Amino acid sequence: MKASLLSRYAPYLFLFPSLLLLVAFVYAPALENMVYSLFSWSSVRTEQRFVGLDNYRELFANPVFWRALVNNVLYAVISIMFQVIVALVIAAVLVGGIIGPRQRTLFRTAFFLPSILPVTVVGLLWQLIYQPTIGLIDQVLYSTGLQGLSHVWLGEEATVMISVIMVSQWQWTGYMIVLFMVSIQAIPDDLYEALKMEGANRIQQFFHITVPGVRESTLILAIITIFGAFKVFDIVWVMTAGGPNNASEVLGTHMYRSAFRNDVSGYAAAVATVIFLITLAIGAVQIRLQRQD
Amino acid sequence: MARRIGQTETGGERAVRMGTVALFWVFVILSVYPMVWLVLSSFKTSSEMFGSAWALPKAWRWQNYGAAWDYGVSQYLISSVIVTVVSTALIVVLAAAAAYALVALKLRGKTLLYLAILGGSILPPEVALLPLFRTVSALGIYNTYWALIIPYVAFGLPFTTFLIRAYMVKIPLELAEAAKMDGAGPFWTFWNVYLPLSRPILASAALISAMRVWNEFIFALTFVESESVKTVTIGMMSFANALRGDWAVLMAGLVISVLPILAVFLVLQRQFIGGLTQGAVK
Amino acid sequence: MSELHLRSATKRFGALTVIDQLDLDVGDKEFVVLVGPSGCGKSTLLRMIAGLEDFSGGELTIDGERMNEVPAARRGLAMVFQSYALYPHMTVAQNMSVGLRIAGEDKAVIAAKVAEAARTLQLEALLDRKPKALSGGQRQRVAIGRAIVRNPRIFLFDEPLSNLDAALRLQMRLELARLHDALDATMIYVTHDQVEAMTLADRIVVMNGGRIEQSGTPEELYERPANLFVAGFIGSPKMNLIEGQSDGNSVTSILGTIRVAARRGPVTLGVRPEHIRKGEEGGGMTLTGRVSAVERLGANSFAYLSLADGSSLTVELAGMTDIRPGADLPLSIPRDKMLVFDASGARVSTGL
Repeated sequence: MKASLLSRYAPYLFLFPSLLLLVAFVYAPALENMVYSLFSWSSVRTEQRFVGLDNYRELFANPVFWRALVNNVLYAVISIMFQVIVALVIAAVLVGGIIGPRQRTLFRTAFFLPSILPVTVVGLLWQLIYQPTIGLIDQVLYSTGLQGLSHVWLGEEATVMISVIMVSQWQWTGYMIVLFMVSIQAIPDDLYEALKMEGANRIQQFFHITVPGVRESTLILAIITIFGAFKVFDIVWVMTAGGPNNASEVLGTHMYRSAFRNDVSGYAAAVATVIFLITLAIGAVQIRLQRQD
Repeated sequence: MARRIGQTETGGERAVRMGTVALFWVFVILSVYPMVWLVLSSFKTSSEMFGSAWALPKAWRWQNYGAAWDYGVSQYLISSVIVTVVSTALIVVLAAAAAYALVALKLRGKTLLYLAILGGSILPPEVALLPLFRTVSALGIYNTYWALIIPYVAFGLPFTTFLIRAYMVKIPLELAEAAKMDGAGPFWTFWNVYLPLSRPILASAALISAMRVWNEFIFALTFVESESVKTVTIGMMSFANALRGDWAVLMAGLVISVLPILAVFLVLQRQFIGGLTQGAVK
Repeated sequence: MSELHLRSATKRFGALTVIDQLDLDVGDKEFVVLVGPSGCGKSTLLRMIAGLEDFSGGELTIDGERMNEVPAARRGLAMVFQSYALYPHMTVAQNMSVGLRIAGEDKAVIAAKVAEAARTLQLEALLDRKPKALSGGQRQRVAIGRAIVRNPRIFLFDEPLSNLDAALRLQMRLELARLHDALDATMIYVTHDQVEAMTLADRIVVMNGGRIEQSGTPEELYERPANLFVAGFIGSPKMNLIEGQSDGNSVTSILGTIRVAARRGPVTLGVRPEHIRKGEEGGGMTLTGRVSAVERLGANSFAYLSLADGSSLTVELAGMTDIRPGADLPLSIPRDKMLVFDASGARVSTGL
């Protein structure tokens, strides 16, 4: 009977390690975090005081939080423009036959390459590129006589956020192009040929076949992009750590600084909970879309 | 819709094509030149690097690389390799086992269990960071490789299970049934049928997991502090702080830290992109 | 000795009953074919016998021993799957020896058994190949070889020929029949193809909606179908079915009147296309139909007729007939070839 007992529970044995790790290191911490957000505590003071929603009140009254949230929204909007809309158009052109297959492979690899770089490398590299006067951008501006456009890109409140966001676009647009290319290539050729027989030009083909054909993947990729925009942390932390003067603060850096620099853990947990609720809403939509497939 | 052979091209079409190709070369330069600049600069002196951005180095300063290596990059690389190899192996084995059970075995509440695993993919690491920091400290693994490996595995499982499951679903269930008729237990079938037949996706999954672990940032920033345990991503931050001013050596260090993944990517590009697209676009 | 008995076998998937209180007895060395339309439960029944599906109710015994709780591998059965279920990454020899290797059999014994099965199936030259390098028929033989090697009490076949093209199917059918003789084994075979059932079976079990409609030799099912469902299912082209009325002693239809003691009310008359004769000789019931289409197959032809009341009739004619659509064709039907089914679908005895 021992053997049959084993075989009865074997299926669960295969799942057990994964579920255990997920519960202990993903789900439980996420829930704990919500509990933490109701307490006032820090790592130096061992005692924890229940404060109800005080941390959230403090949060909503804090202009830095709102600044961060607006920056995340800006991040999402610009990311959608580049990583979804521009990427889709570029992918359609690459697949569309204007460009030969060998050049296409070359372009694809070139566009994809930035996405494999570690974020630290990207951040540090672009810090140097953005250096005033001596950085690559200013050198280009000076040598083309456009020095009037020069800025202290990462040092001015007006330019810092957009400068960081554009680095993300540089890194990830090519990646999304590749995903869109695969999705477009899955559209049957004869759909295009049927429309061509009716005299449609490339732009009409794009709107009548390509766009509806990749509708579902576009939706999912758009959601992944928004998701990424609201949990962004690393590139901002490397390049500006949220500065200057909180001008490039996002929710992730605001949370991290509160937890590990300012040592207001309860407040940090409240920020994390807000991130959690935002991504939960996005994730619910994503799972629904993926299950429809 | 590839261009049909023998289709002739009008003058207008030709202009459109040339224009498009030219535009794409501009995109390529935008995409690639920062990396080229990185590599070129890593061979220059710091003053040369900022003085003439577009020029080749006057003399190729290999000593920048020696300096960067001696400055600690080698230690970061060792840590990254250890953490990446162990995490990737665990992620792939555990995800494959879970995917197999979800696909080929009789389970109660299969959909629920699958969602329990998949649900992990919507939780950003930031949300669990503070409690995880305490858990890691409580377990006594703070500032060790395990402080990175265990969270990496936990957070890597949902996507990898999703990826492998999508592949295993296409293996005919009759193979598992035939094995059952032949007296095979679930472990035999997993090891002798499902794993060998899933080899292509296991390769892709391993590649993607390795890339993610190698590049991971926030856990590596939070759960370790000694230079001897830091992975490359975080190590390069300390490295940059220590080197403020000696830009060219920093650039050399950055190049070194990229070389392993770049090499892996260039060799296994097909599997990598194949795996990514199977996961994201379906 | 291998006998198999099912008593009140029942399978439910949620609220859906797929197998309903089914009894079946399979004798030693018998070749039993389960046949029926898709969704009739025949494959589920086979999988229950195999141990791949649990019983919701009832009992399975093999050689007198209750099998419900016995794991698939220990029931002494071997199964040939529809897709053959060959492991793509293993060679033919490895595929055939999986069961023996799992059982921890001696290497020499395994080699001997594989060699013997390979000889029986003419697979000797292919033992080191992978399934990808084999033709459909060869894969089929490997799947059978894998079953033979295990020396089972009973062979189970789940639509084994449905993935083959027509010519190969015929060849494999003959080979299976030969194999049954050579191995002298009990076989249970599932198919939706009534031609396979007719040609292979010692006994055919016609299933519909999770129940057995009729069980008997091919001749019995063909000549004396128990009900309308079996009558319509066995035979190609289908038996002609014509509406009629019974007054208790005789049945009247467009074909005329015959004396049959059937319950008063609507009935259905059945006659096979090959039993209808051209012309008015033969002394049966006579009628005329208008030819609407003709299929000439060479050795015989089929004419599709419409009758005066709009009902249709299929007639088999010898050779390449020269009858054209539009022609009026006089026919006769021998009274003793007429089958009568009452309103419930059951066949009424006509004294055959």
